[in-house]
Amino acid sequence: MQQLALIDEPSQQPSELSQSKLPGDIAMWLVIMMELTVFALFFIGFAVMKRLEPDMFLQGQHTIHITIGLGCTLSLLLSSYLVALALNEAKRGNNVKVAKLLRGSLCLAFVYLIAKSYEYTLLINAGFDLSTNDFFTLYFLITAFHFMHVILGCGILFYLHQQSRKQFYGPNEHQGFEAAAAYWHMVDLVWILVFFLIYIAH
Amino acid sequence: MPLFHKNIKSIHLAAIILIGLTCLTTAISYSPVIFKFASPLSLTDINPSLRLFSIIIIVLMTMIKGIKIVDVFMEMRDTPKQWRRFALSYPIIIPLVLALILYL
Repeated sequence: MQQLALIDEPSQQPSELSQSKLPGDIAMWLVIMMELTVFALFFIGFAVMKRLEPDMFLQGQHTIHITIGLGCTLSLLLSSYLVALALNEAKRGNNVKVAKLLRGSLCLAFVYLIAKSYEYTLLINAGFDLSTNDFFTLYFLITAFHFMHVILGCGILFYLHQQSRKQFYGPNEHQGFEAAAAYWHMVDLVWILVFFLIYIAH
Repeated sequence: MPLFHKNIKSIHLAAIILIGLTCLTTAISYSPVIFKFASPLSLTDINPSLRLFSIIIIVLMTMIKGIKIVDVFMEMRDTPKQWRRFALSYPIIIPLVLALILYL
């Protein structure tokens, strides 16, 4: 209704026309809000425990690998960047380019998964696990929970890739893509805060 | 400039800012200047004013990164104001709350 009113108004610019719309589906945004709330509770729990046991957490943060954390962050950021570009191409109906960008994004997501698995292997081989102390309990819980979100995101990106190969997306058919992209960016946003809290804030 | 090209340009710019800030926060956090006079596992030996400055900078950069992801990548810049404000509150409030718990 509001969009019709805007179209009737001749002074409205195209960018203003899109202002009344939330990207993707409202259901996806509810899921995103719930996920963000769960992660926020994990983060606050980690921060409170760190405040209570600063030496243990400082030692733990020196044990984990900052270079792997940095590599994971960069790979997720670049993956999100490619998905944002793919969404713009999907809106234009350029499905060939969308598929290429999504392949790149998936490769970068796999870089994250491999790097994180390697870090887990290093830590477990060095004798650290969930029961070592409070730092490692929270470290493994938060990062593994995020890891599962990345795996789910990879599945969604793969589905988008398959759809783009069928020339599915176009100017009037991209709402599902927007919702999936919002989920993937949420995973990226959460990792930015994980990186800040676990790797950087020491 | 057509809307499509404007969007693409802002996505490129956001990616550069995100990668630059990530490298910068890591460099500041592990800067040898901060730890020059400190033992590796002691926060108390670090110059308090330098420590506070580093913390403020790192928290601000984390907020900017979150804002860029929400505004540019999630395309919340063009959504209704109340949705945008709601989405932006997360990358602003959470780092602030975490910093207050950790450092106050």
